[in-house]
Amino acid sequence: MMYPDLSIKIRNGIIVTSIGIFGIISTALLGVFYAPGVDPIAWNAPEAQRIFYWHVPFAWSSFMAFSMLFIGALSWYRNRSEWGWRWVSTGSDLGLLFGAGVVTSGPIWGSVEWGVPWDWGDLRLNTFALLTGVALFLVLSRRSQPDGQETRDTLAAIGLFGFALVPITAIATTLYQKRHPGIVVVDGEGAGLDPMMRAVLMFGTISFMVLFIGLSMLSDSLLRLEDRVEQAKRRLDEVNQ
Amino acid sequence: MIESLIGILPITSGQVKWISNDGEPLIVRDHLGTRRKPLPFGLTLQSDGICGEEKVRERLEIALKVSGLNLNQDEIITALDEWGLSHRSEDRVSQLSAGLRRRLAVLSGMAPALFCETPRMIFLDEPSEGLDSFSRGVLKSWICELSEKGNAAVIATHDEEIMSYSTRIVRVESGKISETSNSIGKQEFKERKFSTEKSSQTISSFFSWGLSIESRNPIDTIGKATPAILALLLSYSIVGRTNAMNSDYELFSALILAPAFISAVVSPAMILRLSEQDCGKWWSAICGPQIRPATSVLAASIILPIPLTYLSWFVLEGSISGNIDQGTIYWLWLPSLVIMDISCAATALHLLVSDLRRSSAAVASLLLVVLIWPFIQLVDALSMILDTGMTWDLSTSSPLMSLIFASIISLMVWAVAIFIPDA
Repeated sequence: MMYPDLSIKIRNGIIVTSIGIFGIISTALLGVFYAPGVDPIAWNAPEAQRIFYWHVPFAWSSFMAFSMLFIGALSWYRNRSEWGWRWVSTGSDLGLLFGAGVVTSGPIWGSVEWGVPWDWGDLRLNTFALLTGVALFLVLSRRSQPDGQETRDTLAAIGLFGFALVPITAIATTLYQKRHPGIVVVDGEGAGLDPMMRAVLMFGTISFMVLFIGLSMLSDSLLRLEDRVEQAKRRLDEVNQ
Repeated sequence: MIESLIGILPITSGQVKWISNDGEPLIVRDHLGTRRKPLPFGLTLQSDGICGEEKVRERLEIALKVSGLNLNQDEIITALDEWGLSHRSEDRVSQLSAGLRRRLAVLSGMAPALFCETPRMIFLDEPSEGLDSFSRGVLKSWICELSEKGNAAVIATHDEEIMSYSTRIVRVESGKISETSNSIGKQEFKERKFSTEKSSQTISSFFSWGLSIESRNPIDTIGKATPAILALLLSYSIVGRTNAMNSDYELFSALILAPAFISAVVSPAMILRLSEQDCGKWWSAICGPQIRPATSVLAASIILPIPLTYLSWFVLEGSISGNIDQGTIYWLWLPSLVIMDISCAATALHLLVSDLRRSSAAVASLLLVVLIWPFIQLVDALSMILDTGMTWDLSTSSPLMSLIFASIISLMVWAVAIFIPDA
């Protein structure tokens, strides 16, 4: 059986990932040394605010990864398409990576700015935490379960379940906020940003996107190669029977 | 193949269509995910499909009952006697040897057709595997009798002797299908008394089966109560001193409700029972897609939340100071009722995870995190009741509304976990 050559895609993936890593390291350096600080009177922990140059891009990238997971799960569920399953795999891996970034950087920032690491009234934090939990479940289960249609069906169903959690979390958080007025620091991240801060944030967001694309390319190539190895092993099983 | 034909295994292409005796087609399963409950049939799975807690007689009764048949005790014993099992009729299946258990599984799979006047389908997966020569003789005789009376038996087997008793042999070898016909000589069979046919009672039989084996060995109840009691004792040892919580109604409410909540989210033993010898697969085949919502209710913590919440109240009551509403005790059952909803949602999530082939290697608790939301709503509701008493107004900040929202959130999680896998 002839397979398409993946070496160019892998090489490009490595280049794009390297650019992304360089970009996010540069973002951290720019955020600490170049971007101006925020008003020390309006903010409880003005220096800690610099974490948002990673926190916000982490959130955007994980949003893209979770969308990939959702589209892949839907496609697998409807058509049993191989690309759909690869998207579930890549989306869950990257969703875990970037989602963990959101739910780690968020509480670090929150604990010094709000005085509490977690706010049950923050929709985004709670949604990302639940979706990251689902992504972790999928990553662990994909490794521990024998691959097959039944397993893929169940994991795709759990991927879709993760997305159904988004409106449920939205309702729950809104209700919680009605009883416990939320901790308001600013109206929204990026609102009324200094142009230099906005530039660093944009640079960070683009860098994380590039990293996301590079990792997606590598992950997709890896999954294709794993599939080829599995098929080769099956052929060997038949020969050895 | 058998599991695809009875609708429990998803298929990648085509459809499984059953034709009723009236000629009506029924699509049991198709590649788009459609799944419907098949017509009454008999089933013997390769791994028996019987839970060890069941009694021998009870198993045969259930197999007939889910098929809409009802034999009296003498007829049940006579059927068991044909397979050399009558002296074991009151024994639990776990006490049988593998060979005897196999006899029971095969008997239970064939009986729904043998004791029914109208022709039926039966499915036997490797029926002769593990049977001794006596039982193989009975099996061959029953196959011939079923065939003679117009029933259809689909048998998956590697046993050439069993194949020789089949009228149509389909071989699947190296991805190729070939078919041959076979003729069986006419034989004489003893007269049988047929059972009167009623509508099949699959879900009610499943509930009575679940309650019966739980009352025989209450591991589900004890397994859920133990961590709840431990949580209560732990709470008491930390805050059980007089006035330790200084009017912190929310903390007090959380501690009161925590044991019942813990009992609600613990993995139910029923799921382990259903995985024993593929017992869940047998029930899934018989009940069709309704098995998932039925199991989520049957295996949920229904009995424990109310007594656990009252127990928590009596144990921890002395640890709160301030003017708590004295009528609170009359309303503790309300959040407990919602915890039953939470338990159904948690069970639905455990069921979703149990679909995985190595479910014990999956971290179900990661999916249960969402249930923190209804718990927070319940804590809010109880703290409001403690503070101002129970009110019936429906504003968003009333205890009743918090209880309703907690229930709705649980219901949404339950619905998503139940309906997505079979959608």
